[in-house]
Amino acid sequence: MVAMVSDELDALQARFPACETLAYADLTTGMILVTNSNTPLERNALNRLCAEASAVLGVATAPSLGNVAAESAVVSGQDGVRLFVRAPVLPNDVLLCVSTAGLDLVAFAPEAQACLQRISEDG
Amino acid sequence: MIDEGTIARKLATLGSEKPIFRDGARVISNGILPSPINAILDEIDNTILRRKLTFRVGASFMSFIVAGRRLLSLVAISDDLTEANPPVGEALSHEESEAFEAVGAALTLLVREDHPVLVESTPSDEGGARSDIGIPVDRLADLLEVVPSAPIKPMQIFVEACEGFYTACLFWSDGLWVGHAEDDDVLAELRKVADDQWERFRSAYGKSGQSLDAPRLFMLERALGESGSVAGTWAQGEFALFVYEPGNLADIHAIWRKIFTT
Repeated sequence: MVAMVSDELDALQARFPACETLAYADLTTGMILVTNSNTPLERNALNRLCAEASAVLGVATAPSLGNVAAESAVVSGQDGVRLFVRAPVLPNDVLLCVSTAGLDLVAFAPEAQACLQRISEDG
Repeated sequence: MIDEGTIARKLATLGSEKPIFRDGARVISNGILPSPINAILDEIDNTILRRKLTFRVGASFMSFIVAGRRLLSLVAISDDLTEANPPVGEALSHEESEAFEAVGAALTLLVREDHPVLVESTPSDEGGARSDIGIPVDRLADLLEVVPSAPIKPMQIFVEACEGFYTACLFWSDGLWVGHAEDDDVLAELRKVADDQWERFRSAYGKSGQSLDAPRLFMLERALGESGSVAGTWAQGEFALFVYEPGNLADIHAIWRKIFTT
């Protein structure tokens, strides 16, 4: 299963090179489960990324901002762009994406959503 | 869409942060904040000892010998700016009105687009023009009609620039949330986010190991269900919250990056 997920993440990253890290994570445990194979992030940075996603999205039953679980979240700053996508069926399954500012969000978001859906449903 | 006229001289929006370099040159304006001409004037204003300053905007550039907060001479200029006919390699003086105005016109041409401004500062080894007159930066500011002390309001600029892309907005300034929306019910939903969730959200974000000082934009898709998505941003102690339609995400994001990043 891990190999399949890794392949999915690698394939998505190959289509969007501006996206340097893709990680499949579980917000209930706060754990990164699988990343793309060439992520430049070390374990500590990945853990911090997962903590950031938890803070921004909240868990499905307790959204951080708003009254329903957001489908996805974009976080933007001088240090780049991060996109956190929530699986529709298992909303605590998330895809975490770390990108440069050059990422085409409009093109990338639906592909990330579809990728996560395949991963989450197969898992 | 972004009204540069409201942006004043000496905007320190990015000044307190770590300098950013591109191709060996320091970025002094992202094209919006500080306004390009203010950024150039500030750079001259901060130059006491004799230096060669080269200002670059895209492929265009102007190189000056600067000392004592004055432009002493123009030593190089890109071909696209020569139509202003500024004197190259000659001593400058604000008392020589034709040359003075030509330098001002060339600087105006240099910053005609909202593109990032870069500066290279090197020791001056030019043997050409030497003068203790030069063009003082305050005279240059007067010529270019730059207002020196208008307030810095990047968040307000952002909110105004996004006006066509949100359905409700709350702007935190001077200790109050000020809001407007066409639909009062949507605004009420956003006020609930501001009153009940915003501080908790910021606290949780800080505890996740992230900075609460660096400017940030958050965009949560469909966080208000049928009412729309929620965006929140902070910078320099000011906040804004929007409700927006998902189709407007890219526009809001692009405007934010234009104003708050280099």
